[in-house]
Amino acid sequence: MHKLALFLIALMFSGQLRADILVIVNAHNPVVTLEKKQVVDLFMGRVSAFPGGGAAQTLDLKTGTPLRADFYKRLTGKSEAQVDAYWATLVFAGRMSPPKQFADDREVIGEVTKNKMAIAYVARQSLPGGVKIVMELTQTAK
Amino acid sequence: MNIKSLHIKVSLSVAAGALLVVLLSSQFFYQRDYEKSFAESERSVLQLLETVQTTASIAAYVGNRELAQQVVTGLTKNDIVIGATITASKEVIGQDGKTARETQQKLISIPLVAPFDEKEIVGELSVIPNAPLIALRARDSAMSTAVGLAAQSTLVALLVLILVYWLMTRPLSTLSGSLHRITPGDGSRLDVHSIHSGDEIGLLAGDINSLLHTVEDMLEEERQLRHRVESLETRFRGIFEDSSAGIFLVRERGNLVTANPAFFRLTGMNEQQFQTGDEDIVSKVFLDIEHAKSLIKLALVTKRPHSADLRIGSDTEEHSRWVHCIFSPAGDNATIEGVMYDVTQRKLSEARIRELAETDSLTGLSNRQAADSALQALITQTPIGGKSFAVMLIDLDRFKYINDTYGHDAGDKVLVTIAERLRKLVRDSDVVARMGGDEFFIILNHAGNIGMVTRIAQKILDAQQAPIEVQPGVLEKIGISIGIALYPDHGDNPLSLRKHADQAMYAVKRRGKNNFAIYEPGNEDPLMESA
Repeated sequence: MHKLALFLIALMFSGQLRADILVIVNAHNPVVTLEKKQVVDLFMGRVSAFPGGGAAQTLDLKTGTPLRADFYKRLTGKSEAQVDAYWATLVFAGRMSPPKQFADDREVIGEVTKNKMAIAYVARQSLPGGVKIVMELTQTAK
Repeated sequence: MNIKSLHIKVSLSVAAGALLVVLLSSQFFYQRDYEKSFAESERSVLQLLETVQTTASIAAYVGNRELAQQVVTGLTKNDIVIGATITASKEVIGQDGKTARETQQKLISIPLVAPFDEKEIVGELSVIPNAPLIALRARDSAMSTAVGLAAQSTLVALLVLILVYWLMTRPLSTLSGSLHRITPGDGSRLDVHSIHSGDEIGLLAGDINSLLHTVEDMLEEERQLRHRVESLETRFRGIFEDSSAGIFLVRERGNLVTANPAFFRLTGMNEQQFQTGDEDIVSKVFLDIEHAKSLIKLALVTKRPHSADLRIGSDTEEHSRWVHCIFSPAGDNATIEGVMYDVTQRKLSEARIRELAETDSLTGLSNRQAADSALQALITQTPIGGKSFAVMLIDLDRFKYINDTYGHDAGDKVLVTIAERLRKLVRDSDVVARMGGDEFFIILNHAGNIGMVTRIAQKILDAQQAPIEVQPGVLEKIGISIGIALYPDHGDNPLSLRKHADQAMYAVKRRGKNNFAIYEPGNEDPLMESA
């Protein structure tokens, strides 16, 4: 009984932590929606342009931020460490660099508002008019 | 060393078997090991690929040529890889070493999947394995396995060979050799090491030893038996050889089988000359051949001994001998055993006695009994109608006067003289006998007719004309009267012949004596007279 209660509480917290993640771009970006694969290819450095042909610049959160791990987990199925190792491999080979990192959602949103090439991820929240949502990573989309 | 010896045979068999095993197993294991080694090398290549798969996938995913080059360079550093290629979307993004086109070799490839989507294939990683090196290594490995196996098999075969030699063939050949040297009867036995007690070699040796023992016992028994037989034979041979009786074996037809020295001594034959042969020795030895042969036949037929006194040796009286000979059937139906011993002395004594019994002691002529039996024998031998003969009865005319006048000595002298004259006047085969007193009797064997008898009678009468000196200086003429009867005309038996001769003689006496007369049947008086 006691254990069951504890489990339900944990489930509640987790629901709160694992809120929907939104992939956002500059409001002027011609892209309306992106497929998950397209998002993966952009964030993992395979492509550096939006489907319409516009150059893309991925924005990332600082390593260790809970949302970052959650985002990569939901997007690629890999842990944060695995994604970092992936980037380390590519960086060691040269010519490739991981996405630029920001401290929190606010900074990210600010940058996206300013940068028309930017693409980033934030937790679900009310967003300013300068950005638009191109994809949602819902809780179920693991 | 004997090529057929057990040891060589076993050695060759084991060597051949081991060689076969080595060949077959080496072949098999070489093949298997080669394949295994080859497969292992391929697996090694695959493992190598798997090691770099993630990195290669990333390189292919992002199309990063630097990373791809790093991966293929790293791969070709392995000596089992001579070339590596990473392609992404049909485009080569990394290549090192030889290409597939250069080597004409089979590639080993793995697909490269996207790092974040396992369903998407983003490229391919291919390597060219160092096939000659792999093959060489596989060969080396397989060869060492095969060689090791061969060495092992050879070692085992050698070990088996040595053990078989020590435990089986050597003891067996030792056994065989010592058995070969043993002569049954010399008392030696097979000696086997104690490690073989209880095993087949020990059992074999034991059985052979007991067999030897049995054989020796039998030989010893045989030897004793032979010794007994020999001593018996010596004894019998002694009896046979030293016997004074002649012993001999002859066949039915008379040929000699064997005879002892006494036989040859008795018969006077040369022993060398009459070894066993086809010669009819019976005919040579015995003078009465028919008699001897009939005795042999009789003995064979009746299967009982038959004996008789037989004469042997030369035909002349002085060299012939008498033997008493016993013929007995000897075992089979065709052999006769003869035993003969010398009875010449006995025979001579008997003859002497018979002579004495048949002789008139005064004149040396036959006596009455001898004359009677001689006449009887002659009649028996002479059938009626056969040859004829004559008998004479003679009486002296003045014998009583001589006896009375001059004494008995004078009478005896007259008788002896007359006897001598009579003996001289007839043949030796004729019988002249003194019947008693002054009466003489003559059997003329061959006087067949009256003419011949008359001549002889006249000769006898004439001979009496010569006077006899009855005393010194006194001569007397003695006349005789002769009566004659002829067989078978005047009688067919002794009595009748004598009686008729007597009648004829008395007829002469009546008519004046000193004459002869022949009996005339049916007439008391003699038919013929002579002056």
